[in-house]
Amino acid sequence: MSLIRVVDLTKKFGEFTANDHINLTVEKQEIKGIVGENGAGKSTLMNMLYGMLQPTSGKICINDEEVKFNSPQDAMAHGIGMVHQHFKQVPSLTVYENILLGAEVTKKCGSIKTPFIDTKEEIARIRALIETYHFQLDPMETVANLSVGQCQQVEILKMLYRNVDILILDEPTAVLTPQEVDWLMENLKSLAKSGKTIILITHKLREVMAVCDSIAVIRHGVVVGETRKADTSEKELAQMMVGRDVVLTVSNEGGQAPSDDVIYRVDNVHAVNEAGAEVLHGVSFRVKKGEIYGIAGVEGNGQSELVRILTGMLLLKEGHVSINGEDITNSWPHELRQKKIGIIPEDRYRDGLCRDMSLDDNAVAGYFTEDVCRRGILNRKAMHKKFMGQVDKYDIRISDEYGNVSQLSGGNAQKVIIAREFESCPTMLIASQPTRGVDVGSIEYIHQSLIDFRNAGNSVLLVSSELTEIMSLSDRVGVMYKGNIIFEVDPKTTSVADIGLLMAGTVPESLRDKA
Amino acid sequence: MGAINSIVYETVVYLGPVLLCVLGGLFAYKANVLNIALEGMMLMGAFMSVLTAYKTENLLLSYLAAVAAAMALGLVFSFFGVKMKGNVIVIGLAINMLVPAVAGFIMKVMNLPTITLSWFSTKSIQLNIPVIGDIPIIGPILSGHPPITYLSYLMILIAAVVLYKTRFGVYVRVTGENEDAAVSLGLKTNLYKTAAILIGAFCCGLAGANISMERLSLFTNNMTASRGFIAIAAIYCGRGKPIPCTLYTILFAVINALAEYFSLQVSASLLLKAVPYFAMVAVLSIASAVNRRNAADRGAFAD
Repeated sequence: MSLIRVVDLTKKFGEFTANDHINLTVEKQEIKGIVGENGAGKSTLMNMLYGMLQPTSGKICINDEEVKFNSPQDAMAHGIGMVHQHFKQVPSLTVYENILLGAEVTKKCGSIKTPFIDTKEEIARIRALIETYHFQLDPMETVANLSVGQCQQVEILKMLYRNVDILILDEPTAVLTPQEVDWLMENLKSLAKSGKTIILITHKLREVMAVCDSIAVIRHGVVVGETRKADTSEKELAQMMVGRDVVLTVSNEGGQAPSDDVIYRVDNVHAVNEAGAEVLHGVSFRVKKGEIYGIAGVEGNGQSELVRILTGMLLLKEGHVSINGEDITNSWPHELRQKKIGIIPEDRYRDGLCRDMSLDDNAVAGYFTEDVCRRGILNRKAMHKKFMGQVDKYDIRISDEYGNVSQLSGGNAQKVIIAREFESCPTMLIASQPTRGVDVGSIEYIHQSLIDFRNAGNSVLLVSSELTEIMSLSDRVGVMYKGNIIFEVDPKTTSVADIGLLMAGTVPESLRDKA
Repeated sequence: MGAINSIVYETVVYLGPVLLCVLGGLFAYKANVLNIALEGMMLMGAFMSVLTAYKTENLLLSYLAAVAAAMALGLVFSFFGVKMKGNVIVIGLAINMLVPAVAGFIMKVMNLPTITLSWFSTKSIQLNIPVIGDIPIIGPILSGHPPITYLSYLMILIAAVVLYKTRFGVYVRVTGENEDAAVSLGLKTNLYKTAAILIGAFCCGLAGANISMERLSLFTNNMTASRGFIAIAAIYCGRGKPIPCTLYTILFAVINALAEYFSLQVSASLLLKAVPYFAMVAVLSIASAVNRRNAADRGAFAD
């Protein structure tokens, strides 16, 4: 008897079929991996299992009993808990308040319930819970002060407190250091041993191979393969995921050795956040001509703030930025563009594109050159022609050439930005998380464009939390930790384990003498 | 001494209803709903209390009518703003414009420019505390006020306890801070938003009754004179925290009392009457500059 059995589950959003007759079984006490590309329908499936979405047709059985979930509470009542990729936490509350949110312990007056919260009892319970599972957390700490890894522990504890038997984790390792990932994997194994069943959703095949007992692969909303771990390999899974052979890493070849001319200098940059705390403590680095300089690090160590400063969205408190010897400290984005700096922002829908405006408008945004805009009047025909030229050149897949950006998938939306920035012939490119939420096919393309751009003698500042991306593309890598670049390494001669240690703030033995 | 006493007394007269409005309205602020209809709800309370008192000559019924009418507006606001996810600014504006129009229409039909209660004396509901009432400064703060003024003092404590010590308060704050988190744990966020709006409406209804019936035993249209907007200013300056909000409200009330007092002494009285509103703009600017002193963001997403 299987613990969970999903039969012919289908979910449609209007015309679009996100999940198409999914069949899946999960056995008790196993760790089940669900892999697939972004947009393959993994999250839709899990949201149905967790009651956030209701299926269009098909059924879900738990212990051979058909269930219907109308809300997450229904799912929790059947012992299913979910740890979301984006933590559902309230930063201003403490750890124990977050764990107990919705399940507060209230004071009792005799046998009558009062609406007042029993803080002492709450703290005691959470302390006991943390000890039972050997987590390292202080229940009294405010969540805003926790590291990302600790926030995830809070999220897992939230579910364990509610006595769930089945724990769904959605991309749990996206924001962790390699060491934190190992810690999590060990804990998942021991949770499974103690009787819990775990469903792990991810696109990182290494992790699936490390912990899962069985694996299901989803592509375009269909289960394309279900196998025991012992019967498969990472390469086979990758093929199933994408539907063809994939180049997992683009080779960083063909460029001349970077020259020693420094193009871009960042000196001693300090910045404060809204609360007045310093988030960057004197960041300095140089980018040379014909070089890709990568910045690695766990998210939340100041990379976002650094990029926002370098792209003119945030004011720095102290320090200097210059290109070709010209000072561009605190310049506005349009001034940066005049200095031939291209910008690929971290959040493409927030800073890079306007979703509800036409493709043409987005293709010229920020670059109103003479050919499309004369004396403030837009030449619509010229804009459209310009954009259609980019569509062919950059292989942007669109369905309606006069429609809005909102029609595009993540990868194609990113290509609109890349086309726009490259077409203005920059000599320096600032690319932040260029492949986040982008399908594997487009990732290959974007990586190749960055390499080609570098090979043409230009410079790139690449900021990414995908370690493999940084390692395979960069000529030099600066590792960022707690608002500073603590070490610069050559990715060709440095191991992932060493960079992992740097990302966690310690300089490994093997690199000490180089410092 | 007389001058100080009368300024202090005037401060409390102004403070009572605005403070009540602030302490009720901050629940909606904490639940991340911008309720600009406080003014309309307060005017509704003022109108309905006097109208009911005029028709029935029953004090208790008047209070009930004020609260019921204001809460009905709260329900309208919640229905369109929370349930139907309409634009809360537009809905709030509509309520603020609707109330004086309705009041004006009814008074036109009744053929009365103001509704005056002849059977009722404001003195009859004032609580005069012996001995304490004679102490300078503290006396006029504590003694000689109608019941709702005391309720608004009490509300400081109630708001703080409900917001920070009860399950309901936690849920309201979570709804405002991270609605996703609340939904993922199955909290009915719309319910808490509506409840927060209704608490505000309840307080506004009573505040209105305080302004018209309890203090003056009459109603003239638009007599709330933008006190609801002063309340919104205080809520924003104090970022929805009961104690700071209270302090900002007191600040506005003192400025208003000073302006009122001096406008009786000099000839340019109309200009002086504008002082509280200039002060409000100044305080709002300073408070937001102080609250945002570390912000270095550019662009529309800086908040």
